Parts: sequence; C-alpha cells; structure tokens
Amino acid sequence: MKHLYLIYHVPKTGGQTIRNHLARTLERDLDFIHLGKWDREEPLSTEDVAALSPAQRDRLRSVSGHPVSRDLIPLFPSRTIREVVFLREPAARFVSHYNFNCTMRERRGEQAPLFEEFQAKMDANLMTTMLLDRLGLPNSPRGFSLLLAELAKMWMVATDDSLDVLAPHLFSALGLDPRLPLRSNVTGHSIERHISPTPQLVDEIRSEARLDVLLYEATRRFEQQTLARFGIIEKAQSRRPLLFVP
Amino acid sequence: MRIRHVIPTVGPSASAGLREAQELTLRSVRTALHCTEEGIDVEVRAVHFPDEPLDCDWVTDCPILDRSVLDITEFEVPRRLPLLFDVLAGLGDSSQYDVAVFTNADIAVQPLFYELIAELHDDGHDAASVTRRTVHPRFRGSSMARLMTADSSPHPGHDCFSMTADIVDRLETSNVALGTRWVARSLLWQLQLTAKKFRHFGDLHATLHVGDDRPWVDPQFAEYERHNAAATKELVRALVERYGTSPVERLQSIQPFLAAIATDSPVNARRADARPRPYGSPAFAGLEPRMIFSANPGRSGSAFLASLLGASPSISSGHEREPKMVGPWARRIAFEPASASYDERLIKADAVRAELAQIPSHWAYADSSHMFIKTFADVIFDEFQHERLNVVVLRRDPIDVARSMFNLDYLGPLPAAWEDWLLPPTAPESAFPLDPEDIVDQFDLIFGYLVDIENRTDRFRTLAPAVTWIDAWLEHLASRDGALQLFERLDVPTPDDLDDILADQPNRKTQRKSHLGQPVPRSLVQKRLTRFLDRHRDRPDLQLFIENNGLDGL
Repeated sequence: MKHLYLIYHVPKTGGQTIRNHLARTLERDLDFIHLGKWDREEPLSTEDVAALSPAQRDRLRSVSGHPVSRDLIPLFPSRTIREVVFLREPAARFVSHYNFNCTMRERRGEQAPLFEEFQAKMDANLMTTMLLDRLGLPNSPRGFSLLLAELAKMWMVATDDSLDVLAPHLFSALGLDPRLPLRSNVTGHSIERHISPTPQLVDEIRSEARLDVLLYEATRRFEQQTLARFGIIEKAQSRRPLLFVP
Repeated sequence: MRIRHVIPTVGPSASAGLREAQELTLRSVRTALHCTEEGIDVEVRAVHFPDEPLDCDWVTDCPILDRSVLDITEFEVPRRLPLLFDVLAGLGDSSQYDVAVFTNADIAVQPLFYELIAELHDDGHDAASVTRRTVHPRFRGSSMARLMTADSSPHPGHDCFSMTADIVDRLETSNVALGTRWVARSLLWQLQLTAKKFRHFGDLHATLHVGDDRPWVDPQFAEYERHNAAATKELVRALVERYGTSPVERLQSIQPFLAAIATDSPVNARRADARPRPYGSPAFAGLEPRMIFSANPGRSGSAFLASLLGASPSISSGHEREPKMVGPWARRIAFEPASASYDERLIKADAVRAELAQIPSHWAYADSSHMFIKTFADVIFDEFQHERLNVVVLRRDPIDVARSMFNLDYLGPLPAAWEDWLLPPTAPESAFPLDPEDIVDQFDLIFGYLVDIENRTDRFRTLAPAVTWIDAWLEHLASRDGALQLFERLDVPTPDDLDDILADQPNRKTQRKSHLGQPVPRSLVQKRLTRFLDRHRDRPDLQLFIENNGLDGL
C-alpha cells in the first residue's frame, strides 16, 4: 500500500470509535496497529513497530492510538504518510474525559476523583500539549504557530462533529467498506455521566484552556478545507487575489 | 439561495411621512429584485394588520398581525405598534427559505442589497446586522437615484438583520414592540448568542433612511420604552437560562437588565440608555469590543506598547498573542503571494474572535505583535469592521532599530530564529525587493526589511482608510505626554500607575545582546544607512521610508 495513515488520537475525540471500526474490519496487528494499552497486558509503543520486519511494516495500512507520533515516519521510508486528526470542543472534551476517567476507576473498584481534583491534575490544554509532542514540535513560544501550520498540511483535520461524514472517506482510503456504520462510545450509555457541561462550567474550562480553544477554532477552519477536499461541501471562494497582492 | 425578506408595512392610518418613506423602501426593494442575479431567489413579504392593507401586487401579502402592543399593556397614549416577533412569524415555514431578512418599513435598500446578503452568508456569516446610512434630501426633495448616491452618514443602532432559517427557529420570543427603544436589542443579542459567526456591519452603504428623525426619543414614547424594557428584561431572563450568565453578561448594554433581574426591580431606563463614550464618531459607539494592533518592524518598543496598553483597566493586552503567526506563516508570506496562504491564515481572525468572546464588550483587545503587518493584517481587515480597528504605527529611529537588529544578528549569514519572523528583502514577495547581487552586507538586508515594513504599512493604510491609524514615535510614547495622548486617541481610561509603567521599560533582549557580544557604534550604522539610501535613492518605493522617518538630511 502506497499510503500509511497515522491517526493521532487525543483522548475523547473519537479515536476509540475509529479504532473499534478498524478492529471490526481489519486484521489487528497485521493490517493496522493500535498503539497504547487497549486490552493488552503491556502497551504497544513505537519500539514495537520498529521491531517488525520490513514485510510486516509494508502490510500495515494505519497506525493509531494515543502514542502515535512522527517518530514512526522514519520506519516507513517507502510510504507516503497521510496524517489524520480529529479534535473536539475543549470543554466538551474535558468533561467527557472526566466522565470516562470516573467510569474506568469505578470499574476497577477505585474511588472516582472529584472534578476539582481532576481539573487540578489534568493539563487544561491537553490537545495542544499532546499534539506538539506527537508532531515533534517545540513547546516554546513559537510552538503553537508551528503546530497550526502543520495541521494545515495534514490530510484530514476535523472536529468530532464531522466524524460521521469523514470516516467513510478515511475507511475508503484504507480499503474498507465505507458503508459500515460507526459505533461510538456515548456518555450515558457505556460511560456514566458524572458531570454535565453547564454553560458556567464550559466558560470556566474554556478560560483555562486558552490554547486548546484557539486550536479548536483553527481546526474548525481547517475542517472546512478538509470537507471541501472530499467534496462534502463546496469550496469557499476566496476573493483574496483581488486585494493585497503586492 | 432562497432569501425571504419581511417588512412590517403600514397602511392608510400611518403618517404621511412614514407612508412616503415606505414608498421609497418598496421602490428600492423592487429595484434590488431586478438587480439580483439568477440563483438568488428573493421573496418579499409585507406583514401588516388586516385593516391596514398595502397596495402592492409584487410582494407576498401577509395580513397576519392580529394583535398589537395595545393588547399586551395599557398606555395613556395609544399607539398601535406591532410586536417584533409577530412580524418575524410572517417568515413562515423555515424549510422554505435559507436566509431571513428583516427591515423596517422606512429602510430603503441599495440595488445590490440581496447580492450582498447572499455574499455575507456565503462568507459564513450566519447572522448579521447591517446598519443603515442616513441621507438628507435636498431642500426641494430628491429623486431615489439622488438619495441612493447622496453623501450619507453612519447611524448608531440596528435596523436590518439577516439570519439563517435555523437561527430563526431558535429565537426566543418576547413582547417587544416595533418603533421604540430596545426592540432591536432583543433580536441582536440573540443573534450574537446563537450565530457561529455574527457580524455587525455598521458602515456599509447597503441600506439607507431619509433624515435622522429618531421618533423614539419623543417623551410621549416613554411608556412604550418602559414596556419594551420590561419585555426585554423577561427575554434576558430566558437567555440567561438558556445560555448561562457568562455569555449573556458579555453582551453590550445588557448590564442594566441583568441588574434588574438580580434585584427584582424595574430596568433603570436611564442607566440602560447610557452608551459608552463615543469613539471617533458617535455612530461607532456600538461597535465594541474594539481591537488595537501595531504596525512595526520589531525592535521598536512593541513589548513596551503592550505593557502600556495592558495597564489600562479596559484593555486586554498582549505582546505577540497566540497564534503568533511566525515560522512557516512568515515564510509563506515572504515566498508566496499572500493569496496562497490567505485561507489558512484566517485562523488568526478566528483566534481573535474567540478571544473577543472572552472579554467584556466595552473592553478593547490589543496585540502589539510586529507580525501583524506581515502575516495577518489582511485577514483582520477582511474579517472585522474597520471602525473597530486601531493600528498604532510604532516608529523608532531606524538607526537605533538597525543597530539593535545587527547586535542581535538578525538577518545575519547564519540560520537562526529570526527566520521565523523577519521577511528578507531578497524574498520574492518583499515590499522592497532587493536583488541578492546588490546585497553588500547585513545592513542592506536590515534596511531593506525596514523599508518593506514601511511600504507594507502604507499599502494597508491606503486600502483600509476607515481603520484608525495612530502614528507614534517610541521616544514620545515613553513620555507622560505621549502616553496620555495615545490613551486619549484610543479613547480608553488612562492607567492609575502610568508613571510607574513609564519608569519601568525593560529591554528584554539586553541579555542576549551581551551574549552575542558584537556591539556596533551608532555612527557606523548611520554611515551604512546613508550609503544604503544613496544607492537606492532613485527608487520610488524608498521615498515613504525617507519621508516618514525624517531621513531627508542623510
């Protein structure tokens, strides 16, 4: 396969939905690898991918999971890399992350943390921090600009709002049947709702997550370009050539 | 695109003046319908009381108003005013149109009005307020053509709204009456809360009103104003319930209503009527929050400007706010036409919009970044109303700037961080291009860069004259008089601790300069500048730099 799809996965942004879909339709660990723990004793890492034979790596169509980073790219010198990322409104993501965390802990028989404790411990700008790290960009004053410039170049950048319409294109590119419906992880069904995003809470979270808010706004902009590229919406006509051209 | 335009029309009982204004409105709407291209289907609906018919066969007749404000409250002086949301009900089934337009009977539209509405929505503005211009007829009356093309003045307030059908479906209704104060706010606030990309166009020549009569200021209307204030208060209560307090309290002029809800008392009409101090022109009082940017080449005191502005109690200020638009963004501007990266660079306008949503409406957002004039001025000028924008053109003696840049090894021979934010004059998109063969030393690149910034600034200044451009020399700005003048020009409160701020002006690069250890005497920089000017003096694109920096004598 010419292309290798790197699917970056920030927690609670639709990554599990994609992973589950791949798992239903592809040979796990042969056609795709999901890094991280999932249901294993020990989590898979970049080193595990590096340990594969060239033939095994050639067979891979995608690598997904929280640890996915650009460190993987040198392992696939003959492949064209297509990067995919879905992000989510920061307050909604944060609340979902908390609910998920509580449910997981309770399932393990542990005490669920108070929201304030979770908030104090968790990086308010997790999407930004994680993507900077995964893309190998400096967490420096110029880092955020570099991150947005990199996102602008990715093959598929969108918010979870577009997951339903873009996933068939992703799966089609991966050689899967795009008609197979997604099954998502909805809070209230498999995940217990410990807290709901009230307007006040949303404001509070967003005021702490300034970079993630800006990242999300930029993602919404790039999402329009992604949707236009796949013919889902019409490409917006830029009037730029008429003005400000030196 | 399907546009449905509702106009609350009047009938025989209306005053002669209003009927005359309505006649002009209908003629202008008809003209606009003739001028609208295929692909934009416009239906105009006249919404009125059944006993106030309209003699006009090309509009959809909607005699649906079966009540007026008189059915809601008792008044000493009865005026049969329609309720705003009853009129909007005249839009009908929202599946039958894409964009709704509401204007009053006395608002005439320009011939390309519907094209404009369609374009605004194509641009992503799912809701907009387009404020009328005020025109004055000649003493003996004016034709429609004369009125359409006459000199006009901007007007405060809101009298023409467009919104998607989806937004119409989500509107909370209230009993506010047309023709008196607070009616527009009850719609405006909802659009600001609901729309993904609302914009107020306060100075477009898209709609007009003849004369500046403002009948609602008539004291006889006071009881109607009280009615509208009470109805608006109930609406605000519903908005708080639906959207939460924080988004609602950021809306302009809403505080008196929130205070009335909190204290369970009537709205303090005088307080509610209080407008912010006019800025530049009284018409622009409602265009906040405002924005302050700076055009400068760097090494000119932009960090100081940010701290000075940030000291004002009503400015949210920062130096190089995120996203800084450096690195690849600067390189794209240097090496590609600006149009190539324009769509992606709109993320900066999105970011500013997100930041504006976090600050009170009477505040100003400030970013003194020198990247503004290089990587994002065009998107800011395109995405925001120019009257809301201020640009401080910050200048410092170019010899000092060049000396500072040289000491920091900017545009030096080795790859370094400066490549992330400076545009070399040898790059194809420079506004003062230099042939690499003509570069004698690093100073040529530095001076070429400074001229580029001068020309870039001038280019934007010419294209955006409605932006408030404030020229400031760093040396003057660092004085008490200069700082006071700046705050006065920006019409923002002066900080209490101004003297402390002026006494504490850090040079953040001092440590790095001492590390690099290549100080250069000022006299040498002056000589190199003279040589640079001599070599390029014939170039027309150098003249502005010479003139604006007082370099004629060199």
